[in-house]
Amino acid sequence: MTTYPSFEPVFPKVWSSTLHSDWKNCRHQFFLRHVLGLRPKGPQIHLHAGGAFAKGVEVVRRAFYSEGLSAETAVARGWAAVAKAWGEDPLVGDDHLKALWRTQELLIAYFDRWPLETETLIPLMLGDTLGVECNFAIPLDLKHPETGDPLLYAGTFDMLAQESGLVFVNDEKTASQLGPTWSDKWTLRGQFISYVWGAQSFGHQVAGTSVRGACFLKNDYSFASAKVLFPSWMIEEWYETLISDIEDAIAHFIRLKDSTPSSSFHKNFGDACASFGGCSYKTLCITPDPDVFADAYYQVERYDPLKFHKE
Amino acid sequence: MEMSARIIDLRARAARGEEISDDELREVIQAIRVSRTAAQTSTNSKKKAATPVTDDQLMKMLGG
Repeated sequence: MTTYPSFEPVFPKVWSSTLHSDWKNCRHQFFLRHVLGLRPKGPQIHLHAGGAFAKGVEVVRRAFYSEGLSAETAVARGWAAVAKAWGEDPLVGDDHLKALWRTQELLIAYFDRWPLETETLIPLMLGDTLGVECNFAIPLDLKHPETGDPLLYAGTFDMLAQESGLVFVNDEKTASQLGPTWSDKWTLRGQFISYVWGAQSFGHQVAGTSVRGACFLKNDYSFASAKVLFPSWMIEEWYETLISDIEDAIAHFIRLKDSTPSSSFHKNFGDACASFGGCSYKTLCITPDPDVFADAYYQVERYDPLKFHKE
Repeated sequence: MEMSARIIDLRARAARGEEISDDELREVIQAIRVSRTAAQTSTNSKKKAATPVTDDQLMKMLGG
């Protein structure tokens, strides 16, 4: 395995669906992103636009459901919240599919598609708190390989909501295309199963996930929605898989620290290297001396699910 | 100030985290909605304009 003497390997204390998914996709990517904590330098516009959009939706819902403002005022405040979350740096030109002004328009179009006055998916009140931007962190029955502290599993989802007498975890997904199979791809989505597991762990009788897609088309916006019910046996199976995968990751980490040659967090050498326009760590995988490139193109910024930013 | 310039100005102020009144924001939202509706109408008109086919064209398309 290629080495990175300039960077310190640290096993993550907090797991989330992002870590689990990265572990499944490519162990080497997991190593680079979550053990070394490397992040590509420069803006990641898809994540940035998605995060700003999510903040806007949250502000709209709080304004409408908690403050009792009109739908028009709530959306107007959401429009401003998108810009505030975006910040002063435009990051991309106005002709970019996911430029700030388009992300703001997407918010307006979203609430034209699902108007607040006729919305059927209504956020729950959790005591005095509106069930939007919900966070959870749950100790796992696993110890950190270095500190011995319990590992945590954390997640953040957009809304705990009720529709037709059922409770759903709701999550919005921004996209560049939806396509005819969009609604089918969530059936076994570990991210959503983990949200249901997380909400159920706090006593909520959650049936499944409601997911809404908001898509930036070239000259317009489009939307789709899907609901997925997760039976208890599937959630249990997901949890067993999670624990097994983390144990596997711990074993890899221990071998890495022991400098056992077979300890490598292997590269995928498959579809993961080319998915979503190419893995953002590919630069490091195609050179025999990645440490130099890591310093030039990446920075250490460890992913912390407890910061509760949108995944 | 023209509405498009006003939208850009409010967007910049919001991005800086400035407080903006609900009245100002609602005005902008309404203007954006009007603009989007006009753009969609224009797109639909162009599509419709391209749709009609004469009887002769139709016969040619059918190989007649």
